[in-house]
Amino acid sequence: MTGKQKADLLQGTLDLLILKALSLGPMHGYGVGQRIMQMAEETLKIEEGSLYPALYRLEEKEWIKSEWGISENNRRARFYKLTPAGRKQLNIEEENWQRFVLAIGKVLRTA
Amino acid sequence: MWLRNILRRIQGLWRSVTIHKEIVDELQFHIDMRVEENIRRGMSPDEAQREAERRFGNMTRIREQGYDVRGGRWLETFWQDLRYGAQVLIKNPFFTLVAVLTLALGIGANTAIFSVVNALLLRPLPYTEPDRLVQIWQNYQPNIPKLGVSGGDFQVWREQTQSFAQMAAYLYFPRRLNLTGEGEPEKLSATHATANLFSMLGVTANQGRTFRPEEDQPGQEPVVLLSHSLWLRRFRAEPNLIGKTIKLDDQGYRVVGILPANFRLPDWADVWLPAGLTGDERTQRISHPFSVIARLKPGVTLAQARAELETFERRAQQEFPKTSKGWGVSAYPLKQEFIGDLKPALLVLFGAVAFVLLIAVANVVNLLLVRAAARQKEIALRLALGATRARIIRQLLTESLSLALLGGLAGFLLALWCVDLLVSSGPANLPQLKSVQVDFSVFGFTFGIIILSGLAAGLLPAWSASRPDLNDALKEGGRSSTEGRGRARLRELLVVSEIALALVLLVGAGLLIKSFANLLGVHPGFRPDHLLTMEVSLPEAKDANDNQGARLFEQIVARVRALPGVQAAGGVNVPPVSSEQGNKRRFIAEDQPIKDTATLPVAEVRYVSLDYFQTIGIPLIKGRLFTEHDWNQPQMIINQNLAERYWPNQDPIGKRINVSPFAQQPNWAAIIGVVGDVKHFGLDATPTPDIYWPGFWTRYMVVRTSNDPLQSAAAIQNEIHSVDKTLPVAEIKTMEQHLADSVAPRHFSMLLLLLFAAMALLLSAVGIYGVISFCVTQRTHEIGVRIALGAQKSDVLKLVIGQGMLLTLTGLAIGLIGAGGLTRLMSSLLFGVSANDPATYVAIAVVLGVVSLLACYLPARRAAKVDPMVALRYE
Repeated sequence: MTGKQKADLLQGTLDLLILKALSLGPMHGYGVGQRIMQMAEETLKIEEGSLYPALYRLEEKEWIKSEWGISENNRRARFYKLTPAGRKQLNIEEENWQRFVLAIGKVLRTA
Repeated sequence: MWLRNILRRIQGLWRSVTIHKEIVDELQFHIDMRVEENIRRGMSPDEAQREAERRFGNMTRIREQGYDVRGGRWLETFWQDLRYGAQVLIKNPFFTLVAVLTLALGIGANTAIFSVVNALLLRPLPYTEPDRLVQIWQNYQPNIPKLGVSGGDFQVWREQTQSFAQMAAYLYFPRRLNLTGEGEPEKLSATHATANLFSMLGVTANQGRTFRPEEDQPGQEPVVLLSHSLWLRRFRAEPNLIGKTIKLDDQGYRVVGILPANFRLPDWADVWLPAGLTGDERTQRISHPFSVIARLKPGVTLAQARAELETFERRAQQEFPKTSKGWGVSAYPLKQEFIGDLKPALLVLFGAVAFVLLIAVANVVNLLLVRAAARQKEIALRLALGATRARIIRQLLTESLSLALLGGLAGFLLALWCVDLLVSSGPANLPQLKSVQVDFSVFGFTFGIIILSGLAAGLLPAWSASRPDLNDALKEGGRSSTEGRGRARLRELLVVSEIALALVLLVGAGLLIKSFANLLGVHPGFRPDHLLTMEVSLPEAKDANDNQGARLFEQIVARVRALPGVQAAGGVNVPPVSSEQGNKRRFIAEDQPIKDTATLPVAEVRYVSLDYFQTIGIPLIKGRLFTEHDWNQPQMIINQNLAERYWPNQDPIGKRINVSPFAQQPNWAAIIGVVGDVKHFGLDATPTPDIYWPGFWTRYMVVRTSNDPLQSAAAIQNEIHSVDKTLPVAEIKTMEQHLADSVAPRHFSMLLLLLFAAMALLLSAVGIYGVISFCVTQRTHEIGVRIALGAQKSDVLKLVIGQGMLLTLTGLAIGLIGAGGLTRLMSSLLFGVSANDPATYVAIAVVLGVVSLLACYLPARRAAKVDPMVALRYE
């Protein structure tokens, strides 16, 4: 955890990460955060609280749905799950991201 | 999607507390999970808690952000604004009442007129694919448009034209039949319709069925369809009427169906009989009794159909030159026929109510500007404390929208009542009005104008009130100086436009009033006072030459004449100025060169009893009137118009006219007298050549009484029944009622426009009063100084009134120019007055000027009474 350099989150990429995390299956907010950290192998700096406004925004856009359920340690927790529209959005954003990375990479290589 | 979002926000509004709690719970769960995790990793509970909170970030900020997204902050603010707005409105009840009433008038008038426009102009006819339905008329040169179609032409078109998928016909003037059986005998109006009329329109019977194709053939079992209203009224909605037989003119007809209530083709029909055209009727081209409706084939345009009909008409002219020459044909969209000549009046009225609404909104803008000025300090303070401009505008708009909503609600209720009134008390000869109702599109329209007027009324004041020049505002609010120049200009502009709009409306109303007065001033050609008319149906004579009917009629008339209070009595087949059509005939006048049978003149033919002219008061100009000896003689009386047209400088007495130019045997009749012209088709109609025949076919009795004619009605009816109990008497009406009915549509549109103009006058007077008195309040200090420095009362009056009159005159000037342009659009509604009638313009400008002067005088008087000591201390 300490050995690695941590990157700040790029503006607007949190939505993509949340959608990706939820594409693995329904999860509560805490779990979403954990999943992102695991997938990034702890290389990302995320203010955990900022997950929630992002989750609510995504729900407002109807890309994810939520309902109250019971967590793995038997507590009441709000679970989020990807909607079909959200899955489509995830595909779009993944493609955009790949294109973006490619473009930035090209620019950096020519420098 | 959009709607669902709003719904969720509204839900969020009611559940805002729950949402807060849900968010708190969710975030707490997160922290708890992190703390547990940290403890598992070996931290102390305190350390674990601190680390969890650090990683989480600013809890309060995140909770608020979450709430903004989830909880519908937007609506919560709206709710707040609404509550605040309501408080403000309740605290200023007078302001609220004036604004709401003003808007209610404007919105109500618009809703009511729109529901008429919607029903008549916008709503499609209640038939299948109504856009492809056309009405076909024939016309006769030189200038008699829209006559019926002959059986011969109809039959050929129906079988041979390519443009139409179907073609149907019905008799377009009523055949009056005597319904006997249970209860009083009653005259019904019957039409004959081809069987396909109903299927072509897509109309199915309300009960039973419509006609079958085979019932269209002559010699079938007599069947009949009833109108819904006849079924309700005469048969008291009897459920098992289908299959029963009713008696019309002593013949039994089996009832096969009852038509839907909204079926009005034609609108006067009580019963529909099958056309049952005989061989002769299918080929004849002399009489033109049918109204023809056809459905265009898909892809065929009206112009193509017209062109095809014209080819057929040309062919008929060649094949049947004697009868068809001079005839033309034209087709019009059915919708247009339904609206008739109502369209210009409706559009003028719709324009008028739009003006009323504009004036109403301008007034509310004024009120809100005044209010905004009074709240300047409060608003400036809020701006200074960091409220955004958008926030302030939103709050002020919420207020004006609430006003509009209240006004709109009141207006809508007003409109419901008005529409009821329009439908129930509108002129009976505008049957189209019956289809007016407030439906969903009317509701949508009202809602639309509510929102528009709310925004329009609120936007300007909100914009100017929230201008962030804080220094000025705080200064202005603190001291009683004159307000910002920009806002004063805006207010003046509003008053000027109000006056201009009101002037245009008033001029329009003035022109209609003058037209109506002109119309009432037209002499109908007879003496309409103390006259009673009633339909008395004599049995149709088997043989026209035996004069049985005429004799019976004269016998009845003689008894009626003997009644006390009766001065004279006579009869005619169709009374003047009634909405009924008479008979038209082509004729040849003796000695007149006939260039071409195509251009034969057409005369209106009326059948009269012996004393008709004396009774109704049509003057004899030359020759003599009818006597019993004329009954079987080929003799006629003509009117002055005909006499002057063909024998301008000669004595027409003894000249002859052939009224059967197409028959094998010419039917020459000698002129024995000339009588004055009568306005048979309404006071605004141009006189026609008229021919009067003596005798055999008098349907209406005309009685001149010495007192109120209606008082004698019962006695006359008794007298008729003492001759024959079974004679039905119907349509008892005074001649003055006939006259009133004939001008009723004009009267109606004049009254409506007058009402709207009065509203405009009132509203603009209130507007100018409001502005001037606000100015006086604003300038109290200045006026006080002037008085202290020696200004006289008259100087102050002059100052204030001068300011108001300058605005008024500017408005009048603009309004006069506008009226000059706009009233031209209503020239088809005018009678005997030009759209630019200078007298009307001047009179209206003076009226508006005087009203406006009064409206300025009241605040000016207040200004002149200002006590300088009080005014100067009043800071």
